[in-house]
Amino acid sequence: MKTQTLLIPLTFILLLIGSITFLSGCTTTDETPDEGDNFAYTLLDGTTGELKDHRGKVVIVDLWATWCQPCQYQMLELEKTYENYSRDQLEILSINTDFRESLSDIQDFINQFEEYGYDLDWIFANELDDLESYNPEQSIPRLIIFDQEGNIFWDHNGVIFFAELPDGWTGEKTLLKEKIDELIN
Amino acid sequence: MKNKSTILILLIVSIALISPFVAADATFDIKPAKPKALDSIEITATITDENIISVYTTIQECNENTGICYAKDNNSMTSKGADQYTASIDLTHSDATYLQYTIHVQTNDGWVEYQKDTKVNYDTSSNGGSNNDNDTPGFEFVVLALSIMFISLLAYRRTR
Repeated sequence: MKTQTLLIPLTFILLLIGSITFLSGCTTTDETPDEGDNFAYTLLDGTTGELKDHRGKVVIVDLWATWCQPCQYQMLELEKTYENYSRDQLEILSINTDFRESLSDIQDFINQFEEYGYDLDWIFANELDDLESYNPEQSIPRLIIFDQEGNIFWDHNGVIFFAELPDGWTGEKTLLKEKIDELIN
Repeated sequence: MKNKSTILILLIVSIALISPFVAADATFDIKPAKPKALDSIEITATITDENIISVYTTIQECNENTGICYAKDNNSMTSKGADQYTASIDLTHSDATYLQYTIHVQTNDGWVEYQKDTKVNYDTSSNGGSNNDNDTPGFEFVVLALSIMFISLLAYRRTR
């Protein structure tokens, strides 16, 4: 009789402790802060996007302009890069840095590549927030690799090749594939 | 016969459109013709047009060995009379191997571009020469080939 009398409040207390423990765990998970970088950009259709929209993926930010010849070559290497990873793994944001160039200038640029058989299927945009902080030397092409949490993992000014260096190349020897694989694998 | 005429007309129009757009009475000069990095250069545009309001030039310096370009600069061009406009510009990047320039002319009818992204190679001989090996054109050849292709296409598109 005494045992049965104690059983009910004891059960209640255990349930209460269990509930508190469970809910605390859930609350902690929901409030994990996003400490990665974020910036906004304008897409070709005039809508806006943000870097944080791509959390969970490696993001390559490519700063460029249509008049920049090395940037044009960089597009070919980015095309190879884009084809070698799934959309769950990697995204590319090519953000035009020349305020004189319009969204239609960018679309024309993409269309010209397509006419030559190169599909630049990733995200193109302009009007990057706080561009100066991401490109202090104002040089292009500039690649910034963000990890899956939105933190800068690596950056470089100048052309970077995906997996192979061309004969006679005297620039940067680091390959994009090596850097991306460090994050994905 | 009609088809042949149509083809001929299309061919003539295409050639006209693909040719770089330059006004008949416009000439351009850059001194020195092959500058060195960090040189001071002078760009002169001679443009016969009574409706000119202002003229400026944009310059971007690039390094073809490392595949990098630096932000454009705008430089006002001053009228020197006799339809001449000049700008004196100090080159600022010690590692640059070429520059591209464009002349922008504002007239009563709007803006006109001349010499769009015209490339001027630097004299790199005093820097120990280019890093290029003449026996292996490699990257620079690919960039040149692509550039010719894209600039031609851009010129064609922008004059349509």
